[in-house]
Amino acid sequence: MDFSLTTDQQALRDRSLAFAQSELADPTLPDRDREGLFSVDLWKKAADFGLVGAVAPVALGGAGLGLLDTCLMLEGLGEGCLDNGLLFAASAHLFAGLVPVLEFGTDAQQSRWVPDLASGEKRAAHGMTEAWSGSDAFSLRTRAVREGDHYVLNGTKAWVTNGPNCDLAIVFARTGEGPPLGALSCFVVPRGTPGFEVGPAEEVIGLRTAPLGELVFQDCRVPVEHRLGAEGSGALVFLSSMSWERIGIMAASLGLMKRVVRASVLHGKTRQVGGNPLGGYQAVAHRLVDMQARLESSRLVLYEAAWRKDQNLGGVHAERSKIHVSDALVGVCLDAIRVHGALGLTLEAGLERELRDALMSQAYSGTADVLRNLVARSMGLD
Amino acid sequence: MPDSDPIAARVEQYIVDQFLGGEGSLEWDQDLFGEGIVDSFGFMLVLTFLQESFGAQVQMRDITMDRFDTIEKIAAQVRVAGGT
Repeated sequence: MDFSLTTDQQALRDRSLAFAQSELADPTLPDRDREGLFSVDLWKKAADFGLVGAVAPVALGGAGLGLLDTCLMLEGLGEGCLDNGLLFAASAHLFAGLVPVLEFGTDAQQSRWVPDLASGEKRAAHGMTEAWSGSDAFSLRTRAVREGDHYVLNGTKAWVTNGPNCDLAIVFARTGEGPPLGALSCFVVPRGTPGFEVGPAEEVIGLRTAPLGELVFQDCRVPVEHRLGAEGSGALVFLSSMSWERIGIMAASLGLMKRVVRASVLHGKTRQVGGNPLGGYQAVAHRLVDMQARLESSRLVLYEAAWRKDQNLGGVHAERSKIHVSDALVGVCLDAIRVHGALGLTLEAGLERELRDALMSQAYSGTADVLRNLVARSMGLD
Repeated sequence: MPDSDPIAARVEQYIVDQFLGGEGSLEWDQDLFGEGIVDSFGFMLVLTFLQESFGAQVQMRDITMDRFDTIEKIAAQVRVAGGT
């Protein structure tokens, strides 16, 4: 068992960190966070770097990376870029927007949509969740009724990342009755299709620079050739994209945790309390050790899951990784605030924003409780 | 397909272990989805099992439910996908 990265992998992570520090720094971030504003400028820079098309083949305009290498890129970017929402939006676009087209699209569909998605010219949203079907995602009510060479879509998707500013939506709808396997189908619906409207950005506590909102379909006619996969294979499209997203969307969080742990250790070394460094007190030192352990264990579990995905090995590693890393992320951010004391509660320190962003991980890509249910089932516990 | 089909037998054993708590047996023409034995997430686990156990590289875009809804059909798809 060899845990070391190759020279190329280390270089990719280092290059991503350096790029993020120099090109994705944004002094207006606190204002944009407060106002809930996405940065198109930073999106374009991240796209030009190769992030939003990382796993797409080079022939289709992507970087041709595997998931592990993409996660290394995201770790570097996550360490250097303070705009967690930007990297979240890019990850959602990549893993839940582009990947379904790569995995389930015909050659013609891939040629039509992947180049623009891989270049970042178009942003993708993933329309699965509905207001009444969050954790019970497959109980969705959006319907697609076949009429000749079109499907007619009716329904509303909720809390869709990139929804308000998407150019294209991956939409799941019911095309039949009965269990999800066979009853759901997936469609690509470009913005501008009559009957497809997007709602305004929702007010949420974290990741506020990544707008999320509704996708509304009202008698929206979608050509049959916009269906991804066979009719009835929508559940597979969804679950397959989640097996990527649940790993990849947390990769930037490794970088976030790294910079938060580093800042907390530095505070522990430099802050004087009672004539001693704060970190010299065991209660604080142990907290810092726990933070470091959460970071390192997250890196191991996430990279193993990514490696297994690259090897076409499955199982529930994606779900386990998401559970562990999202819980670790919240724990690290909470402890960082505890280590910093009152300073940690100030807006100026930025730790409260990291915590608010971290808390969102408890819901997206499957809540920790739902994911635990899935892992439990794989253990025969239902 | 003969009853001695080793691929079908291993698929049956996996499904019984994974989804039926290791108890009982299944007919090889039994409707796994229609009878609620395997659901959507479970099917993803089955696909993983096929890849890991038989080396069957099933292309996601080629999957239709009616080709995987019984053990004997799954075994046939394993062979189509190059599994042994």
